[in-house]
Amino acid sequence: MAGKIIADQIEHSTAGSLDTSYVVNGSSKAWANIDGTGTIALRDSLNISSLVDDGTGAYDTHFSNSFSNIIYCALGCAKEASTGSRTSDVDRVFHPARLPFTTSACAWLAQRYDGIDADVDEAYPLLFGDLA
Amino acid sequence: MASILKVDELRGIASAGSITVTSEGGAATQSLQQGLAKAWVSFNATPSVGDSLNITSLTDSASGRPAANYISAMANDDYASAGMCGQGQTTNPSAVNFDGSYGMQSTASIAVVTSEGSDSKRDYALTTILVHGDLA
Repeated sequence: MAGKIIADQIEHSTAGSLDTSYVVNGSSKAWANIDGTGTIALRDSLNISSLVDDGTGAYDTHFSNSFSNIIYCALGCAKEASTGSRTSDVDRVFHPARLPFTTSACAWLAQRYDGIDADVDEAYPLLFGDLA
Repeated sequence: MASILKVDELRGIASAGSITVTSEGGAATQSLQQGLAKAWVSFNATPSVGDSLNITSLTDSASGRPAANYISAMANDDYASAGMCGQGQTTNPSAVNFDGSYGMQSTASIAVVTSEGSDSKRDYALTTILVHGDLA
């Protein structure tokens, strides 16, 4: 049988105390490690139900549990292909695409620093905010 | 009246590593462990740690190639991470990046590349890294 504790604050014997609102509000609500080349796939994730390949460098992450609003925080990084070389190529950036967030999905875009859209070997989206 | 839970360790009943929390809206529950950051660090160009969680040391392989070593190892290298860097410049964009040649995630550490848009690697006054995933 599952136990349930309702508390406003957690206090450690030596490390201090924390309002439980920080636990709920401060936890990531979704994250993923995406294989972004070829047939894209999730290596590991939290609260991601599916991925959509939206073109070169473009990925859509769909959430298992929706956010309560579209005012959430999204950030990410990417790792370029293992065959890539910093001596012959430029870095990748991975960021939320210039599309409106929705409560059920977020669109992302990976680009080279010179502005060219590019698939990435691995992409790591992280999202914080309020779940519905 | 606010309720205070005094405890040094939280464990799930059915599974020690699994505790759920109710969402802000009350419509969903989510794993507490999965949502928590497993490591974060803020460091300067030396590199020297400003503050951190689960970071035992930094390794300076070369200019623009810092690595952070974990106290408690990750369960695998399939975790998610992000970072930023900068030092108040307004001309060139800068970013923490992961490169197939240099920047790698492992269970014991995370190595990144900090560089400008011109692709030149350099150390920055402030670099931050955030890691989410599964601890071993």
